[in-house]
Amino acid sequence: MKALLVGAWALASLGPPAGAIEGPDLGESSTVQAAGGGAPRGDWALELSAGFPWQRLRGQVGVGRGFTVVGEFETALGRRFWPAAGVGYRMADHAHLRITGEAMLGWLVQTTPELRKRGFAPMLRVRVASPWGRRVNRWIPHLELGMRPAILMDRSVYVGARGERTQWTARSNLTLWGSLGLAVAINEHVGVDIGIDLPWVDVPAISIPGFHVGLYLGGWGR
Amino acid sequence: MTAALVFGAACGPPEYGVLIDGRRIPVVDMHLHPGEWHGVPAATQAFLAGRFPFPFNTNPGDLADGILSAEGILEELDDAGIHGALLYAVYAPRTVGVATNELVEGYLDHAPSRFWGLASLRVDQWRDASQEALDDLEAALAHPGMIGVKLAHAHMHFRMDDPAYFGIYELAGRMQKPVYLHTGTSPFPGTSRDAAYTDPVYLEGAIEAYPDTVFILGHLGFDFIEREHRGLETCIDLASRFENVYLEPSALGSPSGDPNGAQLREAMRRMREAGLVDRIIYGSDGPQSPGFVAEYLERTVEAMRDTGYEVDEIEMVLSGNFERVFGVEVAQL
Repeated sequence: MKALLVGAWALASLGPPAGAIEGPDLGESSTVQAAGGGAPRGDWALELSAGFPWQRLRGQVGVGRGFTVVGEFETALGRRFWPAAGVGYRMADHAHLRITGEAMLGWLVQTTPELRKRGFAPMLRVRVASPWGRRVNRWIPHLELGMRPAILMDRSVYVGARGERTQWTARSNLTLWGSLGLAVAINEHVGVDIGIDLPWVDVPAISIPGFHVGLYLGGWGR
Repeated sequence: MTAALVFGAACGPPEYGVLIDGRRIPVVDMHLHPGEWHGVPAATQAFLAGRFPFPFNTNPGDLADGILSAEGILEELDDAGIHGALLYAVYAPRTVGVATNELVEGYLDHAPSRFWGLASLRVDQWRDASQEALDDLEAALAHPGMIGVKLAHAHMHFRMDDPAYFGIYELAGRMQKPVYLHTGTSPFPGTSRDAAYTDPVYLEGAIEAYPDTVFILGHLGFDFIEREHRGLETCIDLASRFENVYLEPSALGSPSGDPNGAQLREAMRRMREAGLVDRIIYGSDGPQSPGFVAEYLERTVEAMRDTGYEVDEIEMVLSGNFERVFGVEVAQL
């Protein structure tokens, strides 16, 4: 992860600054901000995505000095949920390369009776977006990589002659996340996205790749 | 060599059998499990769900019921190019669950030209109800599609050498119904792991006492905990000394447990070296997961080719021995 960030930073250093985008500068679209993370102070963006098996609602707002506040709710088929909140920091901010690191605090709940899970599940994530196009950075291929360890709490109830005894035990697991997509900014405020998701859920169990389509909104009132 | 192996067609009407060196060989899978998810104990449900891929493991019951249904099993067989299969009844309520004789009969009636069944019986109340259990087993074996008996001492918690249960072998011999026995340890929660429940050497007394009963030693005594051959030589020794012993190499060569196929090759090689090819009956222990039935067949054929089996010998393993031992006719291709 560290090597990736250093490499991306070096690459970003070679490019022109963000103000040098081609064509009329209409400002950074909300699609770029949502896909690549990060936003100027007061800018906000919302992502709604649906697919198999993941659905996601994500919002962010810029708070200045490269930081954003992020809130997210993710589910897989309505049986696995991950509400989370955290902060993002845009580490590379150039015309054709935006890199944002995000640290999230979340809670994992899986309701499957045979494989119930619940517990603290923070996430570290890096978003990379490369906007292209003459107006409003129309084409935005983007990549998301993350790791999400979870500390799962299990409650065991022992029923004996002297009554019930409850015991809490902890175990851990790890989910690695990869997602590759192409976002298209329709205008400054609206964009769409299509992508493939390559998660490795609860390593070392096998995971099936997924896909999603998304809608990006935001930027009004800035 | 791989190019010489052509399995069932992937699209269009299924083409059954394995094509080896221009010869199409019929295949029977003698080890498949039908069932219903709700018949599996909670601990085993969790164990199984943990092996399903994400996101299917978020709703394992639907996946399991789909693949374990009659249509689901037929679909897996068609994908593998296998025409016929043997379905097992199971009575192990504390470990792997229950698939009743009646449930299996329903499958047999659904596809009588493609399914046969092995009946089983409850042994958990043996002291008080052994005769009743034997009567139920005899009634189940009266179904024309029920061609044998399934036992798993490790799952059902009774010793292999306990004469109190030898009436099962007596009944099977009298009705000329071969007995399939799980040998070796089992990965499922709650199973017995002591040698008397898992080591096939403990079956010798029964094998010797009932020469008219066919004993099929499932899994070749494989240790599914440590993932290594533990009872292979014992099985080979028993089959070498007793004509009523047959061998079935299912599950031990699964892609997850034997990724490079070494365990399965070793088993197939040792059995052939011992001159026991006419005692081997092919089985997979599917359906497990989509594609497993086809993959296990492919791995088994490759293991046989890698260890020098001739085409005639492969045919004996894949269907000929089954036909002879169970006295049924396998559909010709």
